[in-house]
Amino acid sequence: MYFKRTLTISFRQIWAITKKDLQLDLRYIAPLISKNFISPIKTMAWFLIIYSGFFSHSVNNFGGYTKENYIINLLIGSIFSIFFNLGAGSFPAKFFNEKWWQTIQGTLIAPINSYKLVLGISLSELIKAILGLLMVSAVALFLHPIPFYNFFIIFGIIIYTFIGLAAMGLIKAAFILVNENLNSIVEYFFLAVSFLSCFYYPIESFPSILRPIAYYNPIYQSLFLIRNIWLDQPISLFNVLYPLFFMLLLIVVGTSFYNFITKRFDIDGY
Amino acid sequence: MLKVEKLTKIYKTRKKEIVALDNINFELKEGEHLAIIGPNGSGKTTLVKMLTQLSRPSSGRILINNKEISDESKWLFGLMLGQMIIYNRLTVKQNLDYFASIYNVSNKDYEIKKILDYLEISDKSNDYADHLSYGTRSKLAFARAIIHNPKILILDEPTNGLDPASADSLREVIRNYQTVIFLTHNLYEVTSLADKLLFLKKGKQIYFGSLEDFCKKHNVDKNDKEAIEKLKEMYVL
Repeated sequence: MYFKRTLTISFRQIWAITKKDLQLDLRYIAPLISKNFISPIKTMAWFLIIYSGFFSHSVNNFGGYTKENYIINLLIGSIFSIFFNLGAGSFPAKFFNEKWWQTIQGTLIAPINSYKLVLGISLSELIKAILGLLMVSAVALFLHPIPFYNFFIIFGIIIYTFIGLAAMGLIKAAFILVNENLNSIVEYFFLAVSFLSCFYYPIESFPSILRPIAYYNPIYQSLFLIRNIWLDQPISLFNVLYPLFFMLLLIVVGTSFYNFITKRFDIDGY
Repeated sequence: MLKVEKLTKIYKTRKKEIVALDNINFELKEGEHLAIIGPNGSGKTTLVKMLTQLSRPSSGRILINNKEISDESKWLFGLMLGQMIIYNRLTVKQNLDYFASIYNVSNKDYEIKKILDYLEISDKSNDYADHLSYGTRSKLAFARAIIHNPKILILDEPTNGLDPASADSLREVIRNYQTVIFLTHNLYEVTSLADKLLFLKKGKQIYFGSLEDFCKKHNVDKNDKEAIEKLKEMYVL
């Protein structure tokens, strides 16, 4: 009975966070469209131009990217890039806003824990990104059809990766609350992770010294898994378990870190 | 119900330490109204932030029903700060709906309507918060603070910026509320609403006790203007 009640309250709170976040963003719809649709398409378009130039000038294979599959590779990378930016960037952006709006205290004094925050915000971001995801996926499916169950598996991988990324964003958000200088340093770490995730280029484009780092980057491994499922390439158990383990670890570490920071330090600079 | 023991807050910077609160002790029973007063910079807001866990004490304890405050205690507090904690991009109703859901208010639509009617802002329920006047925003902030019927209501200058009629009606709500801690510079509010009085100055506790004892000590009636004059004297001492 107690468990059922706690669960009901938790669901209500998570949905309240999601609903509020959607309502906040939906008041001004143009920035939302720009962030979720235009930006990733813009980035993909640059690489599309570069690769089409490559492959029309006697290059046949660039780290597994070929004339036949580079567009589908870019589309998959684009889907993942959308979720990376939304996942890792959502909490920092929201906490910055809430500091400016002086509403962050509402979150801090409320009886909601960091897991509910992660789930509530992740759900809201997923809802906002769903149209973009469907649009890009439809094009990718048209160019390279896959069975429905494979698409379902890919969607599952995207969701757990996304929640892990949101928890990673919570670490950055915690720094935003207590010391914005540290946040800027973490920003570079996020940039490096993004760079080493190979959204729009193959891992072979890195110098050999960077390749092992990129290979063991769990975001890259998630993307690798999705690409290989989509393109019907072989996958190993390591490719499945390694990113899954890391995403679960990120959820635990991200929420624990946020709890530690917000319980130990005062909010600064608002 | 609420007990504060040897509460101290020290802000450390590279060059110096600032003692924002120094050894604060007080107790509040259920149903009592505590006024926290003192000049600017006396540590009133810091104290409120620690009560609501927005800030951590450097030392000392805060107990609720003999248990140290924890995440569970967050259900018990309703807070209205100087920063109103209102989402300007949401409507009045959306703001209240969010906080009602977070605090698991049952029958929330009915509760929201009841509060909006009571505060006479139900005609604004679909207006965006950034389109409201300061006074209406204050009422919304107050509605947000009491939406979950908290056991302890904490208010930072609740009638600031309100017209006299609205201020009076808000005071009436506060008067009838169960347990209230309020910060104010309005000494009339102290004599008309408070049972207990905590006077802070430069982070130190100058006086804590019942308003009745304070008046007896100074041989004044709490309803007389002299009581206010005696309170004013503490500011310049």
